[in-house]
Amino acid sequence: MPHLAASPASAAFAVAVAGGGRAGFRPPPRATTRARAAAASGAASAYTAMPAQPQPTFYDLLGISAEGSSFEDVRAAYRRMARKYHPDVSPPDAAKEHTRRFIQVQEAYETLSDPSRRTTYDRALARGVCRLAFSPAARRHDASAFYHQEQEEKSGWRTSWEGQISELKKRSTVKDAEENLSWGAQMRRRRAEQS
Amino acid sequence: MLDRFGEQTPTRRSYGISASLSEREAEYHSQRPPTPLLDTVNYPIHMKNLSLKELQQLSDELRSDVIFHVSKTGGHLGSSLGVVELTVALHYVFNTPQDKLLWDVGHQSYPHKILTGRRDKMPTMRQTNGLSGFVKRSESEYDSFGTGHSSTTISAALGMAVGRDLKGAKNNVVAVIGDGAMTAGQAYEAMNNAGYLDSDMIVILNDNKQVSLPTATLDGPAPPVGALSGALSKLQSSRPLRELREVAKGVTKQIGGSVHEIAAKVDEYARGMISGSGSSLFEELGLYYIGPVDGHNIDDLITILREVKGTKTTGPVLIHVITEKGRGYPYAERASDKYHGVAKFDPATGKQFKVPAKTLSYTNYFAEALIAEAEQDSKIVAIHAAMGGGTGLNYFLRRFPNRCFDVGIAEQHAVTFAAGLACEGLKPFCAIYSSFLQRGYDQVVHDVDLQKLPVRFAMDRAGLVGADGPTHCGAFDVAFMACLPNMVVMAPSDEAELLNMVATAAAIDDRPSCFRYPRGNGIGVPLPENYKGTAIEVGKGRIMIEGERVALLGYGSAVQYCMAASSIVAQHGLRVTVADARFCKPLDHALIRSLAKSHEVIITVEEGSIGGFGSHVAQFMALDGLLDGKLKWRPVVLPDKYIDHGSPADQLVEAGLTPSHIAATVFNILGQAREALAIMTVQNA
Repeated sequence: MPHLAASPASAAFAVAVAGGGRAGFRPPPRATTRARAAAASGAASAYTAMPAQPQPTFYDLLGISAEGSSFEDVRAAYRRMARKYHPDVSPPDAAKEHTRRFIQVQEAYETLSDPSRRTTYDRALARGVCRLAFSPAARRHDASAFYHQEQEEKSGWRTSWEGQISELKKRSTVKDAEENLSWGAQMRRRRAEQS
Repeated sequence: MLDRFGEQTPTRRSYGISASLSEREAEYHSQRPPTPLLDTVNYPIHMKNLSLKELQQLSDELRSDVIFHVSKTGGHLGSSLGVVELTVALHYVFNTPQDKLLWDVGHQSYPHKILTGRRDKMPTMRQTNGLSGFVKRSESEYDSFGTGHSSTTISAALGMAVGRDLKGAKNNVVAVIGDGAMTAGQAYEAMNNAGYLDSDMIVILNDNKQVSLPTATLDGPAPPVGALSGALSKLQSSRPLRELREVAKGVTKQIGGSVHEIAAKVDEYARGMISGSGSSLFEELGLYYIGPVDGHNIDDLITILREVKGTKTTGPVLIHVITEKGRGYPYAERASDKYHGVAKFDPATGKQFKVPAKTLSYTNYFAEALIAEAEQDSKIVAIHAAMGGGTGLNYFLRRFPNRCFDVGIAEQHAVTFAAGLACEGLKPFCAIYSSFLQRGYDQVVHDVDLQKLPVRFAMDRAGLVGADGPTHCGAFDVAFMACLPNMVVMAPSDEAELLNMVATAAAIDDRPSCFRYPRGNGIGVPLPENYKGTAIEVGKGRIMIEGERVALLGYGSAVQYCMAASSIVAQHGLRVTVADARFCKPLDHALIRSLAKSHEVIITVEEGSIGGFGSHVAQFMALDGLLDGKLKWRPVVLPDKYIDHGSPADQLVEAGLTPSHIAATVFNILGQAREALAIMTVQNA
């Protein structure tokens, strides 16, 4: 499958098909915008899609890693960015741009410093649904906004478990092949022979 | 009428409990809410022809019914509300009771019981001769496996699956286990074995992020303990696996449907590649992971369950279902403990009817006593196994946040963890219910007693416990603790004694010690200042009442029954001696010898099984030659059967441990049958 080599995620794929667990194998890169945009758009074009304008996530804005960054990291990053982009300390010609950035950084901090909002944001990110489009809903803390966010997450869940179910079915066709020596497989084969 | 989503709202919404997600005004009534659809369902077979909309209505009505019934009887509310949709979906898709459905712990089985022919008995929930608050095989054929302690269902389900395979049958086996129960080691032992045996079965992980009980500290919701919860959360946002799956799906679509085998193998490789994300935790153990799934969406649940049921060979499958404890009842949703266990309450306001009491519970006194000791001794630490509220250690946690350890539902680990602390010179108090300590018994023997480490065990809920029934009854702790060579075993007869025994245990630093106390409130005795007890001399009992001919030697709370019995006996002209042994190990030899020398009969009384206090006293007396003369010894213990749930008074009658029984025993031994009969007739009148 020559054209699989194009995208990083499918490169990993090709390695797996080819050689199994070679020591040098590197897991798929931590969600490049390409793979994410591809995942969001429904996978069939994983190796051909050119993404739209790659949008930074809140994590990119603060310059921290998505996994494993603690509240302290978030706060330290926010302070750095805020000092950098605060309108009062920015040169006049960049004021407008910096103000815009500052507001974004502010919002990033508000979202990422609150554990529950961060979790919600992570899930939304995972589905590739939003980057900064969080803003309007995030401002409101009332139940209906939260409810809408929850509903969006949950519809994302549906996609994932539908995939898992179809894989389960695929797996089950080969599950009791002769090589499977587990006790359960032996019993199933025996039952199939008897019936 | 259209609601905000443009959907037709059924007219039934104008009354009764609104248990859906719309933000309407919910109305709650103290009268029975109308449940037209639920009224037509007595058994799961009556559900099979319902449409999806009707199943949703059924869930709403089922929810109202649960709230109504629990408001009248008390019981476990939050957990039952969280699994309403799951219960409906399971009974709809599977053919119970041929398909086996197992509920871990069982306290969330109220909807299950309503749907399986026990709706009319719901008013008797947790009462004498009524429905059990947990799942019980003898109660119904739909209850496949009795539970009460947690984390046992995966093991049992695997056993049922393997048994089915050996018999050549075809039914399904489904185990429902919560994320709290998942913190126990037995769940992993079971999953490990299930993955190895590869037998077809389904495990449903009911994840509501409530890992400890009650699901809050005193000051608000408790963050889940343990690393597992974090892993489970990550599962909900597991990007790499999902992305890889998307790519794989895309590739297979491109390749075409005939290349299933390669795709399946690739999937295996893909799963192996991704470690560090949560789903591989279960997949490394050999269970196929599906999820997360919205546990309140019946459509999703039914789809998934149907698909899994319809797939021929699956091996073990784990479906990760996300639910909300207390869902559908706003007071429960908002409460920090999610209304886990409630007394009777008013559905309209959510206010529980708590009986005002003059004294605190023994649990509270223990917590206060431990705090008082810990104020003066910085080495005292407390350990419990996911029972912060039940053991009173939430108070200790608030006062000493760094000295209180909640290990999750892991009694074995708690005991050995305490042993490790003791090695470092700390003074650990392990507060574990008497019946739950059974789970950590080898650790008590091997890790604590054998090495003579000074771990203190505070065993709450000793003896009969009332509505929770035999699964929670602490009948055996005297027997299994007192037989250990190095253990000091004691029991307070009232709350002041309890405070003193906490102090005594704190002072015993060269060997392990334990003390047991019952469920319930204190009797009302004067208490020392600030709940600070004084250590009593180890192995010293006390005489409560001086009398003659018969000595009632009580242990623990049974001393109160002996006191009451002595008043009854006194009405018939006999003044008996009542003594409080305080210690089962080491026994007060001097006290026993003096009682033996000056009385005709010694009756040992305890709220425990055979092999406990009475047996130790008898052993001593026999070896000391005290039984070689005219002395008679009789034991009063819990009978050799399990006492069913009910009110504490009823249970005592069933067990033959009431003061009247003790008094009648006195007269029976003295040969005065008429008095004995008179006493028992009065009691039964």
